[in-house]
Amino acid sequence: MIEASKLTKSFYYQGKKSTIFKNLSFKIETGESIAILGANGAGKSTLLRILGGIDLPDSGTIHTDSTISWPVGLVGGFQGSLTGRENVTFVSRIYAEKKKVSEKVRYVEEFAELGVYFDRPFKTYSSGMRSRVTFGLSMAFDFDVYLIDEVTAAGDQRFREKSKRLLMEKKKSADFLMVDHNLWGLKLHCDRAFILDGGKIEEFNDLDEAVALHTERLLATPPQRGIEE
Amino acid sequence: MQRLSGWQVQWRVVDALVYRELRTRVSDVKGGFLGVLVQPLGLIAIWVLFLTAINAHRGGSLNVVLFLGSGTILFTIFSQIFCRSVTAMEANEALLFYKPVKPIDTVIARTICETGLYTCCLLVVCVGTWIVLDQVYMSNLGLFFFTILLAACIGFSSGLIVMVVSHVMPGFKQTAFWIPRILWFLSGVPFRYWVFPPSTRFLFVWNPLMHIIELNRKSMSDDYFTPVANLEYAIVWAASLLTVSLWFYYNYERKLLTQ
Repeated sequence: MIEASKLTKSFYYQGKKSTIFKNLSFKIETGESIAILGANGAGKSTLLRILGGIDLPDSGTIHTDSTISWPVGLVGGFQGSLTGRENVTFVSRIYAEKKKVSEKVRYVEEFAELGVYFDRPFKTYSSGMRSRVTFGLSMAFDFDVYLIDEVTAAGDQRFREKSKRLLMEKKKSADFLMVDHNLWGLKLHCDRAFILDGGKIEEFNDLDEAVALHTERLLATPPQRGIEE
Repeated sequence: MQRLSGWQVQWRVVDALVYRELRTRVSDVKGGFLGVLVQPLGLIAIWVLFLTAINAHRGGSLNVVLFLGSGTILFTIFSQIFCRSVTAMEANEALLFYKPVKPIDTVIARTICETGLYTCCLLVVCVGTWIVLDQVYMSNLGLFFFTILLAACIGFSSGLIVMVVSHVMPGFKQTAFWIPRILWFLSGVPFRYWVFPPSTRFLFVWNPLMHIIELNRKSMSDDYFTPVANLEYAIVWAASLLTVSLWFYYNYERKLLTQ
């Protein structure tokens, strides 16, 4: 369960304050996967980061009894000069017991199917190879909730099929908070939807209705990106 | 996932960061441990040549290589931690996406790595001098390692403060890089404080790093005369700075974690 109460978030740029959203309150029950919809810059990724505890709101609180993943497919934490294996070992040492680290590394190695490249510096990888390692790493750990931000479009057809199957498998025991412009992917994995628009949130129990409204709004009007103060 | 106590989480994070830091710092690409040795040994070699050429070594009974090795390496432990902490938040921003990782962990890991690596450097210098000149007595091994610990503690504490200040006031970064450069002269690294006129000695005597370096030299030779160096003074400085830095970090952690 994740319960957010009166979340407000703003950013400062050159002395100007832009409020991304104000007083958002909602509750996500265990067993529910949520699609977060909204135009570019509406604050979807920011909300996802705040729910994951990676960023902090200006005000408001979040209560949760679930373990929440880092954003699936995150590349940023990887050191370019280290090999795929070393980077995976680093994250595994944080999240797994020492005796299970090699098991996690082996899992990612098998999932990524990079062969000898797994032992080469991460900075030499193509974007597809990076996706394989980072996605595999996220899936190597069992979280209650996975944060999935625009990840299903990465990689080649074989990788996309493989990751889709893995996500379906994970869905049996975990929930997803998903941000994706691939609306088909959202429909496949999510039960409900939130639309973020103009700093406010609207909740929908019917995913199809939310997707239809979101598409209609996108095509009809220019999106509102935060509230400048 | 298994639920862990705060200490267990921090232990795992620091362990992982130390692994990452060592792999990066001592990678094959950078020449391994030899790559780490090059900078301080090069600096020591240049100063040995310079001091010998002008006949200016005033280290008393202590061999010039050990005199410079102690000063250079202890100061490098401090300055490496300090300088890397100035840009620690930008450099490690992506790591904070892994929720258990907190900014303080990156400074702890760096302190452990730099202290470990440069202690090994100092031991290499001591063993090398012993092999070539047979002039290492190591009269007080406890003091030798304790002074290294004090230098690391001062590096960690000032690194923590400078990380917070640089994040809250980005304009401070340029100024911050000057601090170790000034302290280098005021710590008696190449010259002891008493080669300078008595009226200027107050500039050196307040500096805990000067006391630490002098005590480290003393630990290698009983005959090394250093009347001003005071262990209690260095300990009080290190403990006070550590307390202030932790208080400072505790009060600003939320700001560091807010994007």
